[in-house]
Amino acid sequence: MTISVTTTGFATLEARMQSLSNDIATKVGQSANRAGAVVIQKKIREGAPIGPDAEGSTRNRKRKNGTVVQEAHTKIVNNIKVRKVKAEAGKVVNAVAVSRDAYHASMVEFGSIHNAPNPFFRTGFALASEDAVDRVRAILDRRLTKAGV
Amino acid sequence: MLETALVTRLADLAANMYPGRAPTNYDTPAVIYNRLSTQMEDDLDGAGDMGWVVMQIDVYDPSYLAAKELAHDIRDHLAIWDDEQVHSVTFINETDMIDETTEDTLYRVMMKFLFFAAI
Repeated sequence: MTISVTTTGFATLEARMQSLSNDIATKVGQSANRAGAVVIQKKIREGAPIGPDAEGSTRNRKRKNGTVVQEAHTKIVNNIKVRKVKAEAGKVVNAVAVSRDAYHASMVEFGSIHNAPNPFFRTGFALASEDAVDRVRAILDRRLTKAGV
Repeated sequence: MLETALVTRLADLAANMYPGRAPTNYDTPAVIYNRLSTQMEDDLDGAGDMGWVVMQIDVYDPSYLAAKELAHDIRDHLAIWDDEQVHSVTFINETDMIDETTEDTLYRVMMKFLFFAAI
C-alpha cells in the first residue's frame, strides 16, 4: 500500500506564519495538524470491524497458563484516538492510534496464525490521506485569515 | 488465478502453505498468504485482466532464525518472478512479530509484496 499526496504553497504559508507571533502561529499549526489527524481517525473508524458484543460486557479470556480471567470487553471502534505524542523539540506529532484497552486490534489488523488479517487501519489511512491534507490546508487558511494575515 | 500460481511457485520452499489462516493441525514452518487489496488496470479497451495486488505472506516457526531464513528464501524466489501470469513482484516490507495466540510462542515474519499480474 503506497500512499502519496501532493502539497504546494509552503513559501506563501511560511510568509503568512512569520507575520504572526510564535504563540499564535504555533496554535494555528497545531489545530490544523490535529484537524488532519481527525479526518484519518474518522475514516479508520468507518472501516473498523464492529462485533456483536457490547462495550463493557464481560468476556472470559484464557491465558497461556490455562487460567481464565474475566475482562470488560473493549470495542476497537470506540478506541481509535488522536493523541499528541512526544516528538523532537519544535515539532508536534498527532498520532492516530488504537488505545491499549483494545489490544486485540493488532490481531484484527495483521491477523494471526488463527485468523486472517483485516487491514482496516492501513486502508482507512490510505483512503483519508488526501482529504487529511486538504483539511490541514483549509484550517490553516481559515485560522490565518481570521488572524488577519 | 494468482493464488494458485503463488502456491505452485513456492511449493518447493514451503510445504505447509495455507490461505487465510492455519488449520487446527498445522505444521511448522507455516506460510500463510492473504490478499490485502486488488486494483485492476484499465487499458485502451477498458478493464483488462491485469492488476496490482498487495499480498501479505507470513512465515511462522518456533525458531526465529528458521522463520527468517525461510522468509528470506521466499523473498528471493518471488523477486525474480516474471512470466505470462506474473509480470513483476515488488518487495514492500518485512516486519518481525511474535504470535502469542498459540500454546507455544511462534516467531512470525510478516512480509508484504506488490504483484503486477493477471488476476
